Amino acid sequence: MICLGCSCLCDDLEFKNEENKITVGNACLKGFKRIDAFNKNRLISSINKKEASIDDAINKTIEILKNSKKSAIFGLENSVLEAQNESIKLGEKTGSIIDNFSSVYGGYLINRFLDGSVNTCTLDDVRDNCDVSIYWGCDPMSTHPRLMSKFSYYPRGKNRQRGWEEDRYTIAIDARKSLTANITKKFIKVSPGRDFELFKAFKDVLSGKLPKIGDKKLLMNVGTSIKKAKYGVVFVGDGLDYSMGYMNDFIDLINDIGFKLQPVMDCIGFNKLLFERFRYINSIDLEDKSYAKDNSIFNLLKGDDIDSILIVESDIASYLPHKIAKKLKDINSIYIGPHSNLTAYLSRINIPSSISGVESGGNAYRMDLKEETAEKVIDSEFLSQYEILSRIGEGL
Amino acid sequence: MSDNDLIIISYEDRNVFKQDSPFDNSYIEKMAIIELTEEDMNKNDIKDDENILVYNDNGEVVVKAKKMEEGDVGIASMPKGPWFSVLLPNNIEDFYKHINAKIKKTEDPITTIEFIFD
Ligand code: SF4
Repeated sequence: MICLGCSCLCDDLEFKNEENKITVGNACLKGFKRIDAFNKNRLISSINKKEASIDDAINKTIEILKNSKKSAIFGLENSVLEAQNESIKLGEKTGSIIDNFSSVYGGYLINRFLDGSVNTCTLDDVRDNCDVSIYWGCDPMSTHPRLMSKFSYYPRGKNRQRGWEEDRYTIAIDARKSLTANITKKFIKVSPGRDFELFKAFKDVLSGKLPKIGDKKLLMNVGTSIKKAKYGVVFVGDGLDYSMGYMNDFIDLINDIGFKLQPVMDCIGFNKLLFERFRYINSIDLEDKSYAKDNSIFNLLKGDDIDSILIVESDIASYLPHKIAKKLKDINSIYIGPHSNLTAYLSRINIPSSISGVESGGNAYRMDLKEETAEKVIDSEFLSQYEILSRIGEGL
Repeated sequence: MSDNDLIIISYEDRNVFKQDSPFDNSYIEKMAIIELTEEDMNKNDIKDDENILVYNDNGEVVVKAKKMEEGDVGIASMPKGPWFSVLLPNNIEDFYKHINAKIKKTEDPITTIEFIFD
């Protein structure tokens, strides 16, 4: 079974359903919860907080979108490609703005990753060859729990038979000692907002100069390992993006030292789909296929340009500044997803869906853009997100 | 900078799952917290598990103080989520960088999701 719990898309889960007792082998806790929560905290179909049939909730959504002056579609970071494609079709019909989490963080890096201007590799290459991995502003042990055990640190790879003990050197760079930093061989603590200075110190070390800031001995030591690397990979997360802001110099340095770069972010699959169609990965107005910063969820909810929003399996309300998230209560907001969350709580219409990769199948991209096909393993009464979005589209 | 001025960085808690209800006690216990160094706790006369008010120009929220295992004085951390979101600026350029806030001891209960969003 393929797990869609995060963009590692682990393909070795062993699922058994015997006499209504579910067991799952090989999954991390996050992956297990995704399956085990099939009967917990499920979203209830509702209109204005009153329970309603799914048909009524879908019909009300159609009515809202028909009467909307300008609508937006947001999320789908955790959805399958079929649903993502259907959301684009729907957005083209309604002339909606389409956006996802990459407009909040990581967008610039993902764009560079997708336009081919960043050296990259597959996770299988990482497993077989990587001898130095750097985790900068990311904590895969929390967000992508099997990344290090399946690919980058612990496994024996074709050319890394002595595994983590001897063959792999790992460095975490973060503002706090994360779970990942607890297991890497070196940890460099960076003061909040000072990643760019640390990056410049690294640049000095790599060109043979003494670093101007930080623990000089540690930086020199790590710099030597970077220089000696035969196959180096930098995993980057939102932490770096928040702090660095301007990423071009950073990407150039990674390219110059011959390292590969891998964003550890979940929206990359949907970003690829949008990039291939429109050359943009987020904030796209499907009316004229244009991109504008003002089309990001942040700016849309801050301003008054949209009167309705359809959000698919993305708990954006938990992450935006609360005053902006509250705006969901003032416009026609529709939430589609398998479980209830804060975004559903603030939305006017809730439409429950199946759990992708558990109660319905579909395709998805791993973080290195390898495509995988997930099968349904549990029968359920819930419609898939693809079915819900196509029913809304047909109704329009 | 006074004793109660802090830089707060956010993190993702690996024991909080997308499937959890934000109204469950177990979710609130994990999310409505701020981790502080022992020195910052002592400076502000705060003990582990006491309620404290965290506030800045963007808003205020009552959460539980937790002792950080390892960290730097003046730097606290909070899990990304509804309680941290109260302290965020309404400006995308500064959004989700570290933020500045102050703390003080309070007898008030933990701020509820309903109070923040209703
Ligand atoms: S690491 Fe990600 S894909 Fe793999 S089992 Fe865990 S949640 Fe699922």
